[in-house]
Amino acid sequence: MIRFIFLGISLASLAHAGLVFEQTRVTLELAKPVERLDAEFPFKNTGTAVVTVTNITASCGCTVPALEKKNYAADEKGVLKVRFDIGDRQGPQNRTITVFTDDGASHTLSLIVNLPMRSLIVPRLLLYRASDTGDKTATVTYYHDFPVEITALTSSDPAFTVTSAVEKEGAVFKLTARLVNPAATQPARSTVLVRSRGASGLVSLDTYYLRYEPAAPAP
Amino acid sequence: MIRRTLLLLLLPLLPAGLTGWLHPRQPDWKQALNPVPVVSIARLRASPAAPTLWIDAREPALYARGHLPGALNLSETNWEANLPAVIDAWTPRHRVAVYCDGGGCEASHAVARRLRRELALTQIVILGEGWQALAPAVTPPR
Repeated sequence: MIRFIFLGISLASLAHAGLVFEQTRVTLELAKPVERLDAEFPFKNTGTAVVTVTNITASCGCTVPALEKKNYAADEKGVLKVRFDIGDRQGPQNRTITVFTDDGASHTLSLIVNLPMRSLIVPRLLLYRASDTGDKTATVTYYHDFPVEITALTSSDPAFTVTSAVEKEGAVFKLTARLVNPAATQPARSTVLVRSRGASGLVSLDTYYLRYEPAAPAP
Repeated sequence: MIRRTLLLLLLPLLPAGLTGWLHPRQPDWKQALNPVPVVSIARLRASPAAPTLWIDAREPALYARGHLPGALNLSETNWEANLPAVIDAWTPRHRVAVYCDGGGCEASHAVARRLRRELALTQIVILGEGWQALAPAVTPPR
């Protein structure tokens, strides 16, 4: 009986051998926008043999995991560093990193980041129908890094022209779109890029969408 | 005595009202008073007049494992990357139906609220049952 208990304990300890991460989930809350951030996942080789990290994958190309080396001796500690290039992302972000080792184990790690709302365009879609002849407007509001200036505004389709006007200096802008030919018979779709620069020099890119739906031809 | 009591009771309303009006993180009152309707799959099928654009609000890994045929994945974490495909697929004739795991999951509510706010959609509903109920009825993607 004692032999079986001992065997059970040994098997249990073997099951936990290998890399053990101090925490498999790191949650970060950011108060203001940044271009990138770094997170760390410390770990330890709790086994009796050398463990080799054979592969590390991330759920997004924006998340880059890095290790100082691949082999970790028994009782040796290490840190998996993860760089998250935020780009123009905002709001809650959940990234998964998977670490594979030569003992057949895989470790799934989560990086959860709550990014602040940097800006908001409302509405994100302006729809023109055949009967629409006037301009249509959206509003972009910036929440950080004042004063913000719009440095470029471009429509991917020349069927539309776009302009911006200040509503509240350095924070709120009115974006006006005009359909060049309201009598066009072909539909048009455009992605409008709104480039802006905050007081810190941080450049951001926001998008909104324009669409023209001509009248259906008479049967 | 009564006047003083009333005054003491009413006085806090002033700062409370100001906070509710001016606070930078005040609730979205419009949304709170007019939530996106939650409907059942039976009710959705009973009114087939409008074509339905299905939005799967779960995380991409869960979507990859299985989703309603034709459903597009749009979650808070891949919003900017996947929104263009949703806008491309949507037409003014479409009714948008958003689902997540079911069982009171919050993702479909968050995505539906944001779609309605950002795209000014009028025909948008949340599917009450969610993927747990839908999964047995559909063929997983290859």
